Amino acid sequence: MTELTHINELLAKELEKSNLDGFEILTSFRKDALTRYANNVIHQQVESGSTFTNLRGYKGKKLGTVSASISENNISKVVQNLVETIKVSPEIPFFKGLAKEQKYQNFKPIGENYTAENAAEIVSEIVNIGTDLDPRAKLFGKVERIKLDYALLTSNGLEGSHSIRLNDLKILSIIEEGEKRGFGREVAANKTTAKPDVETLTQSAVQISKDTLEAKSVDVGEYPVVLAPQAGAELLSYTLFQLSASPYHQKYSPFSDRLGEQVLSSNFVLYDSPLNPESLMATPFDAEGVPTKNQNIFENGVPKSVFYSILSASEFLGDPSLASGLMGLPYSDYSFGGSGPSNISMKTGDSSREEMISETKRGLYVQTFWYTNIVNGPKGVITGLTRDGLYLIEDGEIKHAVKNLRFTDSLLKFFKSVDLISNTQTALLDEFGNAGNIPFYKLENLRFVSKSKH
Amino acid sequence: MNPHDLADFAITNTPEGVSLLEFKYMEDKTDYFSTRNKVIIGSGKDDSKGFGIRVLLNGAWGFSATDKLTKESVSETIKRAVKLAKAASLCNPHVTLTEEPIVVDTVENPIKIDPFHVELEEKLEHFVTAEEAARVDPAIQFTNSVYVAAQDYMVFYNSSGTKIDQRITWNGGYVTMTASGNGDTQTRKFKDDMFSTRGWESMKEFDLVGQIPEKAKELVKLLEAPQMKPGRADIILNPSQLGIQLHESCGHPTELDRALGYEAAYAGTSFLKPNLLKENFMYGNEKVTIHADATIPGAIGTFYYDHEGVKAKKLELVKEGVFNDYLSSRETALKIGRKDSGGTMRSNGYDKIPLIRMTNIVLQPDKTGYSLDEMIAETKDGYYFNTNRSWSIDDIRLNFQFGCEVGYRIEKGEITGLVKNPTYTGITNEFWNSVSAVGRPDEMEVLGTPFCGKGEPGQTMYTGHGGPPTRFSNVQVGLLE
Repeated sequence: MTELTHINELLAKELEKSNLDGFEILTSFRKDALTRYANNVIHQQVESGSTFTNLRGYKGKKLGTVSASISENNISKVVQNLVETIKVSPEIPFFKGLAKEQKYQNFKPIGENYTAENAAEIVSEIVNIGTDLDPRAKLFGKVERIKLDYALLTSNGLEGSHSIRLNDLKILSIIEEGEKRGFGREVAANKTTAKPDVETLTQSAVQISKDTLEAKSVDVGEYPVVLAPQAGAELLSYTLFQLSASPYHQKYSPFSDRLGEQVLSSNFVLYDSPLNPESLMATPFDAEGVPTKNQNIFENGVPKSVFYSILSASEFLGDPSLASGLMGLPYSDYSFGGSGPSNISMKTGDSSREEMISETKRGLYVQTFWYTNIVNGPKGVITGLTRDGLYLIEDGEIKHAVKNLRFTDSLLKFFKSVDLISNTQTALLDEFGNAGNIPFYKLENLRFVSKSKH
Repeated sequence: MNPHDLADFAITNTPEGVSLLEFKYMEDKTDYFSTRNKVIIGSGKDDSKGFGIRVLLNGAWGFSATDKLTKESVSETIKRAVKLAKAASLCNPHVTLTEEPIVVDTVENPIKIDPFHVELEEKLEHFVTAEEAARVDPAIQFTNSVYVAAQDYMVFYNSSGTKIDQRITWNGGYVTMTASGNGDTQTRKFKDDMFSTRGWESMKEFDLVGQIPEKAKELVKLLEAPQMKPGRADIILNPSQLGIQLHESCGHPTELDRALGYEAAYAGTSFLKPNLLKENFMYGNEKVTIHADATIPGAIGTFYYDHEGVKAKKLELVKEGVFNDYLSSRETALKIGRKDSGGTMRSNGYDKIPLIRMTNIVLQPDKTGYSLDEMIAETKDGYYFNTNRSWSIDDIRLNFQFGCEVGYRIEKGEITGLVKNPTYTGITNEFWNSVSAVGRPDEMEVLGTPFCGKGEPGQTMYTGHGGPPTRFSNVQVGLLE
């Protein structure tokens, strides 16, 4: 961290010579380490470490951005690049400056990463447990370690540093028998080197793959669905996208002009907890230096906030101080640049997975959704497919595994029917690397429109 | 320090026992901007450089990367890669590789106007003028534009003797229009998927300002257009929608790493299992021939050498309907009995390992086939779909559903009006077996996306796709109410 702070100071010194009206520096060191396994062997064992800086500066209403690999050797070049970018940039009429002096609620970061050796041992254990349970099982997945240190310095006197450490485990079991293939998946994410419950997770993944090997076809149509946390997280992610400032203000979101209105079920409560040190992506400030805050995104089915960056708050609200503090940190190449919550939780209820199943006359249990996408923004229609675990529930019991189905439905409809929510949450990362604490939950109906072949 | 010197140093210091060491230096730069209602809302420059070292030790891979460009750092990075390979050998994959020719070459794609030397003002004017031209009706309340120029410079050496110096530049951009009215909001993107390994000349040569008003007028009409009715019909896809169809239902399932399970836990597997190669599996009907061609001049998925040092190739993935080949690498090609890699391994930075990536996935035209007009004239009950809006396909790449921005109703051989929110769905091999007409070469386009995502940690890559207008029979359309 000292090195990052030192680079920021050197950059600031150089920037001060450049006659700009203001600047913002976010320098980070990211170490991606990944042990990836397939067909019971490790096929990818990688580790990389890079120091990057993201610089913004302005002169009048001209704003420029550069990001670059950074070391003491290229400080002047990077600053020069920024100055030239600003020089040729046109004015942004609504631009009113960057983050102003504010106080961060600092806290000590929690987290530790596995070593490559730990990760290889975990994989070895998964493979041994899985193949002992069923010699036909082939195990796939990853043990990823994310380490991000970042330091901020701005001309408005903002200064801060923090770090994120987390480990992400994925287990997929595949069993093949002739033309048939069964798939089962489990995931877990944590912030400590405490060993995950590899045995239980592997057992579950293998059992699901055994079950889905014998999956039967069911008719398409509307079904009550009990969603495992990883399936539930996917639907939540695509709901949150629609609260981004651009689709909201361009009337391309189902929530456009409906902030403060009860549009979803009254027990639908989503909140973001970046200031809880236990949150996987906990941070006291965002990538623009705006303080983060714990906040409700949906309160009893009512959307409470739109996600603004400093620039979009200036553009749409005329006030940069209304930025949400949700600008993504560079913890992944996939997630830097957008504004949205990274530590989302769905409020728990008083039910359980077992109770939800026992209270279902005829419905489906979904382990995972996959390749979800927005079909019609204004109407909130999204589509996606089940994957790695789909079961038919009849008369309060899991009857058998089901071949995968595609849903296409409006979130305005299916999230109006949140029936039950479990009293436990699972920590996980979604498809885009955002963290979540997601319970099991049940929707009264979700419309499935077509069948897959497996 | 000069990357060639670092590369030489790395190769000279290949540790004993390492059967292959690859040194890959990459210097990537990107210039970009976006606008809304003719005002710039974001612009910037990204630069990254560093090197990655991949070693094969006792049949296990290890890869480590850094942005510290010193000889000491090379030594450290080799040590880390070796350590990682040793840890991987706990679950030993017994990796073996195809033998590939040793190459010593310096290459660069030809561009007439370097996009990095064009003033931002000129680029902005190109798009802002188009946004202005798109304002044909008050219903169009928002116009946005996006432009990206990027360059990958790679120095690749391996311990077999290959030494490659490669520079690839690409650029592209588009305008999006949003119209609201009649209780609805609709969008149109133009020109969609227009990215190429060409210079700024590719943008200047296209008459964006001249063509966009017609698309804008059509967008406004869409607000009043009827919703597509569910049912079965013949559909014609324009080259850009055909491109994304090819990308999702042919490009990804023919990635051999996916078919062998290496991507199973994330991006999924493939219905195209290797045994189908021997069984002459009918992926489509006899009208369907699909190439993965990394050598098409100017196409966005074009390069000279992949990131394993293998020369770019043209692969025949599907030949007259029969599944014929995969996109492959040195490791995976050998697993299905091929002697040579397909030359498709690329990474999006020095700190990422190469993965099998699409090149340009192109449906081959029918030289004696139909023009688009003839195709429409022969269609009794159908639709012509343009410009992708939504895409989704299952984890074995069979069940797909696409949404488009605009549909044209075809009745008795004529376009009779617009339909909004068009969608269609199907099963990959059934869909490609329903091709009833493939367009002629003069109407084909190779377009693409620079944002194809794959792998863990996630990587994006510039990949091409396209072909001529193509018609499919008896397709399920119109799922939305």
